[in-house]
This record gives sequence, structure tokens and C-alpha cells, in this order.
Amino acid sequence: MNKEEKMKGLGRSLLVTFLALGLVFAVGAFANAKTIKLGCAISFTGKESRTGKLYRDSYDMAVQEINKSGGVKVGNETYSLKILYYDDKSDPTESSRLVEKLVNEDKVNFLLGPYSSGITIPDSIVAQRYRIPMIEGGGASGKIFSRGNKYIFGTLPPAGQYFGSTLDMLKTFMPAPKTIAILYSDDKFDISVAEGTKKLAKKMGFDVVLYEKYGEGASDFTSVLTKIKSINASVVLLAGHTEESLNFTQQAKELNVCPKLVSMTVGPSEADFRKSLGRDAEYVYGVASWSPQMNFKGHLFKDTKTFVSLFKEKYKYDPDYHNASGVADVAIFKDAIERANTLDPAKVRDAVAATSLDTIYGHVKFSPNGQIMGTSVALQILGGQVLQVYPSGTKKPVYPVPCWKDRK
Amino acid sequence: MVLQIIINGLLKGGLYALMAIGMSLIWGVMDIINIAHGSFIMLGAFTTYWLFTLLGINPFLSLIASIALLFIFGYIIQKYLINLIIRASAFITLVLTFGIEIFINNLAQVLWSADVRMVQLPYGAANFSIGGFVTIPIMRLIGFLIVIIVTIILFFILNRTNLGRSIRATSQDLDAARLVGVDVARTYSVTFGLGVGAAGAAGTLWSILFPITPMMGGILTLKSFVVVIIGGLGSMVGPLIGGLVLGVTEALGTNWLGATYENLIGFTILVLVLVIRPKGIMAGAD
Amino acid sequence: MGNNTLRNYFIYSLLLLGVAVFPFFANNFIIRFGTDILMFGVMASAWNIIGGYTGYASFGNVVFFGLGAYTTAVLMEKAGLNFAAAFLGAGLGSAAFAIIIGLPVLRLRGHYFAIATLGVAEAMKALVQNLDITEGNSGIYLPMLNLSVRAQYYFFFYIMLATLIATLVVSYLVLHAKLGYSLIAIREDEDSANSVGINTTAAKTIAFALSGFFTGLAGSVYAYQQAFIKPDPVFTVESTLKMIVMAVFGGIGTLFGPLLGAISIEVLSEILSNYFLVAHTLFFGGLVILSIVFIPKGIADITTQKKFGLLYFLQNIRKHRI
Repeated sequence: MNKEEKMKGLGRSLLVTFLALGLVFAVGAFANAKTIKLGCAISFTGKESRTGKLYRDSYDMAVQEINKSGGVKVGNETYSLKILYYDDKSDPTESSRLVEKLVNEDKVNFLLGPYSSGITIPDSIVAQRYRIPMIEGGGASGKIFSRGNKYIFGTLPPAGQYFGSTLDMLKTFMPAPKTIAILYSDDKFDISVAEGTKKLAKKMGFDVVLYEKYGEGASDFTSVLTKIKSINASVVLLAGHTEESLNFTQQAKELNVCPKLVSMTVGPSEADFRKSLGRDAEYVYGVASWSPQMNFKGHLFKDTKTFVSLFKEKYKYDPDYHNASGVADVAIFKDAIERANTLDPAKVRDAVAATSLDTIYGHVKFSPNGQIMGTSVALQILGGQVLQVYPSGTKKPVYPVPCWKDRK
Repeated sequence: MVLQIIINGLLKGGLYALMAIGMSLIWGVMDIINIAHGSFIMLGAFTTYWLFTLLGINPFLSLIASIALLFIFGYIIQKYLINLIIRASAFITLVLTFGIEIFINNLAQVLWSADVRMVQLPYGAANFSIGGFVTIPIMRLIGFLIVIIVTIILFFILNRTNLGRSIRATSQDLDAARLVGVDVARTYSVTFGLGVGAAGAAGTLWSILFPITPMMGGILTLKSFVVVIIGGLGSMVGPLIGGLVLGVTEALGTNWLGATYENLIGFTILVLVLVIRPKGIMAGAD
Repeated sequence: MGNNTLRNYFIYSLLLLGVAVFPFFANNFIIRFGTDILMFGVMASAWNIIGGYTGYASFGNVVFFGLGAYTTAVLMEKAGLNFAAAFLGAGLGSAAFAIIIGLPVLRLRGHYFAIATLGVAEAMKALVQNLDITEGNSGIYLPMLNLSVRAQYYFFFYIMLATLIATLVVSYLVLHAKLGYSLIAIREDEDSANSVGINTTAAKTIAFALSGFFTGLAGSVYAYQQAFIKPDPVFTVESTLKMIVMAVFGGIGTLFGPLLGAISIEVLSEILSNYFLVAHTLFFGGLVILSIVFIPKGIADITTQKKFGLLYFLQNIRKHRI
């Protein structure tokens, strides 16, 4: 082929490519006629992927339910909801980049949050930059809401309050324990939990005998467990992640360390935790902003009980507060969009801020900083099941927890 | 309490040593730094997990399976991949092992998802205590014993068998070894296989003590570096010493400074050792 | 100047012009993508100075990136400085760190140097995770740039572009100065270089400092654009490995090789991510393996081949196999 032929060939292929692209865009534009697009960069892979999946399942189920029962009404139009997902690989940089992509390229209308506070923060900054509201159910650290970002809303209650009901519960025991050890992972959320808990504990008259930070993802707790054993702390409160909760429990047994009560922010409410530890998970306490035993009237579903059974039927696992929080996120958007009666991001944002909605997750109302006003309850694993034990639980809490060697 | 901390450190150190033996062998003999080392540990861990979960095979028995499987895997990788570029700069090999690491880690993640798994043994947390002062978890003690056994076996292979002679010859001078008739390609493949097999054993042990995920290898590779450097290349005892030193230092250090300092301690030691005495503690031994 | 050189300059200027005006025709995300490519271009080219020209393969170059990012964050957020001061501070700080850490570490060779630098990077990450001034592992916010959204993207793109040009210009100057010959001499045979009187310590240290300086600048821009940074992403060994792969893929020791590598690998990654939601990293790993086996000298080398065909790939294997 000589140069001239080559140039012609190049020109021809370029023309075809442009035509093809044009066609694709045209078709794409048509297909999106009556859809509200929710963008979501979340962990499909990487260390947050296990919990990321909980949110994806919930978002999907909520959207499915909405579309099934008539979609979202704006003005005279009915819109269906669609979620555009990207895998952020549990990496904050990647996640924020993908949110930019969702806004600029995919032109999504609104945003759903990722999992984990560390990833939520960069994503929320992008949302703020573009003034598109984002609702997230996977980040509870106060740091997310501390910069006056008007475009981020979170459905997990403030981290510092997480152990509130647990501490209340301690006071109801006779005799009440005096010494508390607080262990926490060094990420934003858990630091917030630890700081808030320490303040609260001191105010309530407890003696915080150990206040120790460990690295996120730590696998070895033998050092700190040895310390706990030697100072004889009655209560251990652990603010961390599932893997750490698993390691801690296993190694506590290895070193025969048995405080009278051990409670963890993450782990006990997840089915995986109980499955992995088997009988060793028994008697472990947990906290959650929600438990399947609660029953609230729902916005998308009739009530919590209905939701729980539908969820279990569809996904074959028990939903926990992550799932409920995720469903609420989508429900809030539907409600806010319909109240604002427009797709204008600024107006929808204002509607979200003014939300007062009953969902299967509980009543949703946001503080001025964007975080949900809510409380948490204390759970305990009894008979292989995770049950709410305080306040007004379905079963009485077992305290003090029998030591390893004394268990059947 | 300090005694308990030191014992914790020694037992952990044994585990570190087992992880690092494979890396030390490959590095010492073939001058290859295997960045994918942690991935092989991970594969060993998952081999045990799947054999246990699907077939109910006792993890200690599966030790043999994971060593064998990983030996074969390592052999194949060396023969069909690494041997192809081994004459290029050491640095090129580094990049290759990096590619292998990404590939294996992500393949594992695609196949088995990022879920956290545990080998749940009913006696997994069994322990005994000495005089009420210190508690010794039995599994960690067994792990320590396995390290010793593996070290002895490798020592035996290297010093008392023909294969070992070939390996030592090729590590000293590749071309000279070839001249005297050693099949260097095969020797390299076997050596890599042995190193990876040792990693597999470490993985099995790890799975009994800690939860596992496909991405667990990264930090383990880094820790193995530290162990190998501290202990020095070229000896079988080096990793053992290095592992114990790291284990105890970490245990004491985290107790004193706080658990978040665990990695800082290890890497500071690494840099210090490299700067002061790069050949490590056991330099020149063997 | 021959016809050829004139033609080359013309092509380069055209390319530069294209890159310079491209943001005006693209949406924000594409500009961001372009900025990221430029960033990796800077990092890979900066690595090239110490790794490619000098032959000291640093496995810890990300430490300069992280230092640059955190210096910027701390100076802006805690000391209230403006970006210009923080940017410069980041670069100089990283260079200073390179000099200090280079004193002990540059005395090591080969593997040991690589591992030492890796250790330094990981130790620095662990240190930053424990300090209060960096807000530890939970991350630190930076003040947001007070411009319109579009203008923000332009800002970061052009600063990164300027940094890249500076990196390449300095690399070019170094290469053609006496320093450059010293570096190459060190790479080929350090002992001989020493014996003919080249001050290898000074040369190595300058190279390392330059490498650190530009990598630090890249980190600085990154931090400001992200507006929030955490230790793990900015000190991760994956970044160093990425820099190295890009430099190798594009062609170590050449001026534009690393940049070429950065562009190709980033574009390829993005394409793969779009088609394979979960398995894209798998393909990346495969790509690294295949390219190192078949094109260890990088793409730049391909462009210098008169005859190019299947033989080229096989040749590489034949040369390097056991």
C-alpha cells in the first residue's frame, strides 16, 4: 500500500468509527429517556468488598422494589431508577476518580455512597465540588460531616454514640463492672467511636484502664491481650473491623483471656463472623444502629419484618444494619425527589436535608451537619443467633460471660 | 507479663522464620527476590482451607498437600516463566515476580472472592499454662516445631544430597556448574519449587492461626524481607534467627509503644540492619 | 541541525501543543484522567533518573510522593500556607529527605539498595500513621481550591503538565551534562567509574535528590486535588511498582520511555477496567508478565528497530533465558 492509499484507508476507518460512536450515543440517549440514574462507586474487590457487597445487595433490592411498584413520580412523569456501579477496589483515590467519572461521563443524577469512612470522605468531596447530593450508609465517622459539606448525608449514627446503650446496660448489672478497656483501630470511624466512648464512660463513672489504638487490619492481638489479662479489665470494648474482631476473639481464647464482657462495633451482627468462629462466637456482644428484631413501618416495604424475610429469600443471608441502612438510602432519595418534585440537584439536596421519613431502618431525620439522628442498641450472640439484649431486648443479656474453660 | 510477651514474640517469630525460609533459599541461590512470595503463602493457606472445608482433611495432614502442590506450582513457574528471563538484569526478574504477584492475588480474588475465611478447628485455641504465669497456645508451639523440622529437612537436602550439591554449585557459579554437567535449568526449577513449597507450609500454618484473604500476601512478603535481611542470606539458620529477632522485637515494641507501631518497628530494623551490617547476623555462616 | 532533528522538534512541538489545548475540548473526568497520566509520567520519569540512568533501582520512590503529599497537607492545613509555598516546600522537602536517607542507603548496591529503599518507604508510612500532626491513619483534609469546578480541573492539569515538562527538561539537561556521563558510568561499572576519579557519591546523591524532588511535586499536586489524603494510598508499594513497570514498559534509560509507558499502561488499565469490572487487575498482572518477558527493553526500543516482527520478541527470550 502506498502512502496515499494508507491515508485514504485511515480516513475511511475514522469516518466509520465516528458514525458508529454517534449511533451508540444516540441510542444511549434514547434509552435514558425516563430514568433517574444513581451513581455508586463501591468496593467490588479489595478489603472492603465483603461489606461493600452488603450495600450493593441492599441498593439493588430497594431499586427493584421501587421500579416494581411504580417508580418515582416527578411532576407528570414517572421515572424508573437505575444504579450505575463502578468497582473502586476499596481504594479511596480510585473511588473519588470514579465518582468524577459518574458525574462527568455517565451524567448521573444523584450519588449513593461507598463503604467505609475513609473512602466516603474523598467521594463526598467530589459530590460537594459538583453540588450533587450523596447519601451514604457506610461511613459513620464525624470527620465526614465536620467540614460543612452540604452535599453529604449519612444514615449511620454518630460514631461516638455507638457504645452508649452498652454503657447504659452495664449499669443495670449487679454488681456493675468498674473497669473498661477500650481498643480501637486507627481509622477515622473507630477513633471517633473510641473518643466518644471514653468521654461517655468517664462521665458515667467508669474507670477506663486501657485505651489503646492498633493498626487497621492488625492480625496480632497477643500483646494487648496479655496486657488486658494482667490488669484484669472487666469490660473490653473493641472498635474495629470484622477481621480484627475475629482475630481478637480467637486469640483471647488462645491466651485464655476472659473479661466479663466483650463488645465489638463490627462483627457480631454479621453472619460471617458467627460462621467463622462457630461456638467461640457465643456470648460476644455487639452494637448496631438496627437489628432484625426491631419492627418499623417502612417506606418501600410494609415493615421491617416483611423486609427481613424478603431479603433473606432473595439473597439467602440474614440482613444486618448495613443492609437496612443501604435500603434506607435509596428510600430517602425516592421520598426527597418526590417532595422536591424536580430532578434539580440543589432542590433535591434541600429536600433530603428536610427528610422526616419512616423506613424499615427506623425514623430518618438528619442533623444540620448531614448525619442521621439515631441511637444504637446492644446485641449479644446467644445460641448461635444475634439478639438484641438492650434496651428492651428479646432475651436477657448473659453477664458475666462464662470463661473459655467453663463453657460447655 | 514480660515473660509472656517474650514467649508470644518467640512463637510468632517462628512463624515468621518459616515464611522467610523459602524466600531466603530462592534469593540466596538464584539471586531472585520473589515479590510474589506472599502470594504463595496465601495459596498454601487456601489449599489448607479448601481441603479442610470441602473434604474435612485435617490441616496438619494438608501440610503435605500444600507443600507438594506449591512445589509443583513453583517448579512450573520457574521452568516456563522465570527461566526465560533469568539472564536479564536482576531488576527485570523483580518486575516479573511483581506481575506474577498481581496475577495470582487477583486470580484468587476472582475465584474465591475477597471474603475473610477461617479454618475453624475445635482445638484451635487450645493452650496450656506454665505455673499460672504464662500461657502457651498449643497451635503456635506446634508451628514453631514445624519450622524447626522444615529447617532441618532443607538443611539436609542442601548439604547431604546430590541435589543439594547441584543447588549449591549453581548458586556459586552458574556457568561453572553447567560446565561440570549440572542441569542448571532443572536445578533452578527445583530450587524455586522448594522455596515456594516452604512458603506453602507457612501458609498452612498461618491459616490455622489467623483468618485468611486473597490479599493477605503483601505484608507477609515485606515481613519476610525483613527477616531475611536480619538473619542474612546463604544460611538455613539465618531466617530462624531473623524471625525470632523480629518476633520478639515486635512483641516488646508494641507492648511498650502501642500496637500501631508494629510495622514501624520491623521496617526501621530493616533499614538499620541494611545500613549497618547488610550481610545480616549470620553472615558468612553455613 | 539536520533535517531529521528539525522534523523531530516539529513533531514534539505539535504534540506539546495538542496536549496543552486538549483540556478545552474534554469533560472534567477526561481532564482528570489526563492529569493522572501526567502524574504517572512525572513519577516514572523521575524514577528513571535514579533507576534508569544511574542503575540504582529504587523500590521505595513512593516515599517521596507521600512526603510531598503530606508536606503539602500539613503546611496548608496546619500552618496555613498557600499552595505555591507548600508545593515548593514539598519538592524541596522530598529532595532533602533523599539526600539524608541517601547517605546511608546509596552505599548499598543492587538488591540491597532496592530493599533498603522499600524499607524506608514502609517505615515512613508506618511513621506517618502514628504521628498526630498528620492525623495518623485516619487521614487529613486539605483546604479546597477556591475556583469554579472547571477552572479547578484546568489548574491541576496545567500544574502537572508544567511539572512533567520540568522533569523531562531537567532529565535531558542532566543526560547531556557531565553529570549524565557520570551516572551512566556508574550504571555500567561503578568501581571503574570510581577509579577514574568520578565522584560517584555526589553524582548518585544528586540523581536521587532530583528523583525525589519531582516525585514530591507530583505528590503535592495530587494531595491538593484530592483534598483529603490517607497514608496507605500515598505510600503504597504498588505505586513504586507501577512507576517501575511504566518505566520498563516504555523503555528505561530513555528520555521519553517512561512517559510513553505511563500513557500506555494507564490507558490500557482504563480500557480493561471498563470491560472487565472485576477481573481487570488480573489482566494487568498478565500484561506485566507478558511485556517483561517479550519486551524487556520497552516500547521505546521497538521504535528504534529497523525491522520489526515476531523475531524481535523471540530474540529477547533467547538472549535472556537460562
